[in-house]
Amino acid sequence: MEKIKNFIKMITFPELIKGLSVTTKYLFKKKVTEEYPDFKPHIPYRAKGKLHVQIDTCISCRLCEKACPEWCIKVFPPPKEQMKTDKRPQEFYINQEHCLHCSLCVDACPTGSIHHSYEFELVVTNFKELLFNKETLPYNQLLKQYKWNYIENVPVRPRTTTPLEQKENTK
Amino acid sequence: MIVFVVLVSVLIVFFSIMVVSLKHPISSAVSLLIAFLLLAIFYLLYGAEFVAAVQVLIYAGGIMVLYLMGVMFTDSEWIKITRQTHLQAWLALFLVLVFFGYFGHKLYHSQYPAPAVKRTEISIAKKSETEKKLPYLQRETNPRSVSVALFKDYIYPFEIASVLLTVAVVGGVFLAKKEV
Amino acid sequence: MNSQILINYIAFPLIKIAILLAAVFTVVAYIVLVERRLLGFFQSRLGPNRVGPLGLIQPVADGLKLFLKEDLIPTNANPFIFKIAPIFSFFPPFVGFAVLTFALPLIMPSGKMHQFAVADVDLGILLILSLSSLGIFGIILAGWSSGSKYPLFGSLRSASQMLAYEIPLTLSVISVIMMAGSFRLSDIVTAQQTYKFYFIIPGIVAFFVYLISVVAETNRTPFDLPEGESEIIGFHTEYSGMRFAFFFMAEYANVVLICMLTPALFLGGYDIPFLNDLELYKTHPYLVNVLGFLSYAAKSTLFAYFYIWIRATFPRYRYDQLLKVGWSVLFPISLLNLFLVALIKLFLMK
Repeated sequence: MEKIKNFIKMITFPELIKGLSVTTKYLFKKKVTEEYPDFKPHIPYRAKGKLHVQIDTCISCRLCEKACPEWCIKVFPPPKEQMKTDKRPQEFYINQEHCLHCSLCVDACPTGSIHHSYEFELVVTNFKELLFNKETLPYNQLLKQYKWNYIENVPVRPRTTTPLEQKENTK
Repeated sequence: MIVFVVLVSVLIVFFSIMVVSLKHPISSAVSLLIAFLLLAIFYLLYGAEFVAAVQVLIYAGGIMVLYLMGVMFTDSEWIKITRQTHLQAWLALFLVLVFFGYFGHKLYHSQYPAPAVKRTEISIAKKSETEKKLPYLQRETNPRSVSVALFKDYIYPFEIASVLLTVAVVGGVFLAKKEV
Repeated sequence: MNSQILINYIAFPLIKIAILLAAVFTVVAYIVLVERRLLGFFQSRLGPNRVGPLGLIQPVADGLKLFLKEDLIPTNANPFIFKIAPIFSFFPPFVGFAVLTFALPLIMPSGKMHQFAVADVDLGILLILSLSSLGIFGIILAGWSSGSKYPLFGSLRSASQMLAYEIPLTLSVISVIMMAGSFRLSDIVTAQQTYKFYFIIPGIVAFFVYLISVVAETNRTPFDLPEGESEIIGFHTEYSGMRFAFFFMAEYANVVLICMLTPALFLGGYDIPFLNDLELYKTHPYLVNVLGFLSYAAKSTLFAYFYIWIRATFPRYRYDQLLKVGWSVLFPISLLNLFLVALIKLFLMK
């Protein structure tokens, strides 16, 4: 009896059929590809995008300028008389061409004005486009949400999980 | 038609000479391959389609592959510097000329085309009901006449050749094995 | 020259050849795209869908890319053989398409019959077999003439592999020829229509042997040792640009040819399942032509899907396993099966 079973197993190739059925199952599964230019990709909560400065809360202390290892930040504080009433900088330059996204300036900032945004598209046709000043700085659409999270300093939004982690959690 | 036959024959002779005269072994193998393919075209010109297909399948597709594989393993640099002929070449040339003259003389005096051989009528002895309905089995085709010639008219030479091949295979295995 | 001869023997066949070649090139270009997309789906990706809607213009982009690439010839290569090697593997599959028949003959209003084939010759399947045995020279000469070790090893691997699998392939095809009694592909289909069963039923073993050895002959994934694009290096390593494209197209043309040949041999070709074709043909010839062509296309597509499916599923064989399967499993099985089919033909097929 055992021999007959083995013989049937030998001529019907159950392993091959099993393998083929596995691939067929994957054929109809949901695809994990993110079609980036058509649909915005999902960005993780702690992603470090372009640097963003909230000019209204900046006190022109130039700590970020000194913390930057690549010297890509340049702050021009207002004249001394004006400094007593309004501390907002006259001009603020960030050169994204050199930025390492290292977050040292974010740690140095006493007011939390400088921080990373969720913008990550840094492809340009001219290097000069990567130099941002006071006028071009507010580029972040997700600004409000991010600022709020930052001040609380706790991840308020539940951390979204990748499909792989979801699978591990359900186990 | 006759122009094609002459052209193909000249090309076959040319490439056969190239096989022995070219210095590089791969080049001569390629020219042997081309000679085989031209021979298949030669068969096609005389209406022997089946033989042509078998020529391509066995000689060009099977045997030439083995030749090429063998040649690839040899050191071609060593072959290049050795002489390709020695003193026996003159004797060989003399013998070739003698045989060429003999066969030319025979061919010149032979009948052409060859006298017709009495051929077995092509019919399958016992036909089933469905086989009688199939239209193409009534038609005489080139492969069918070849098979009738092989399996009815010349069955004994065919079987003897197969026995000879079996003997060759057994002998080859015997020689290749170190201990029997 | 008589104008009637000019039309019947030169113009008409040339038009047929042009249509066939255009169709074949389109199918070969698009089976690459279909394969890439399906492989993506099997691996829960999407595959190439950027160029044009659903990625439909991708083959044009691929061809353009290969066409514009630099054509390199290595210093150590033998330039003449390096140049002619792609031609050797390129032409056999495309010639093989000429003997395929796509539907029952078309009856013209004048009463003439026109075959749906370029050249429905008596040799048929034997021609395809002998031409496919020539394709191996492209691989061997390409590997040798590159003047580099790895292509040489790849070509030697492929030569022994193709020799090992050509014999079971031929033997399993012979069992079909024996059942039909003819080499001609339209005759094989006619035999299946007259016997009212497909040759897969008596030749089930031959079918499986054929399926396995055909995958090995076309160098597809479980047996893709000649190329081995992921870890072992194959025979066309030194080729670039258009010459590489020749090898690439030859491989896919082989796949398409096999996908169209398999239904004709084992699944009744342009026979419409569950219908008596030959009876219906007498009353509605054009309907049978169209339906038969569609059923042939459907069967071929099924095999193309199957090909891609096994490519997505199975890992590559090891080299010694490959030769062992070829010589000591498939070869005896196909010989035994030939004997079995001969007995079936003698006693059961009335």
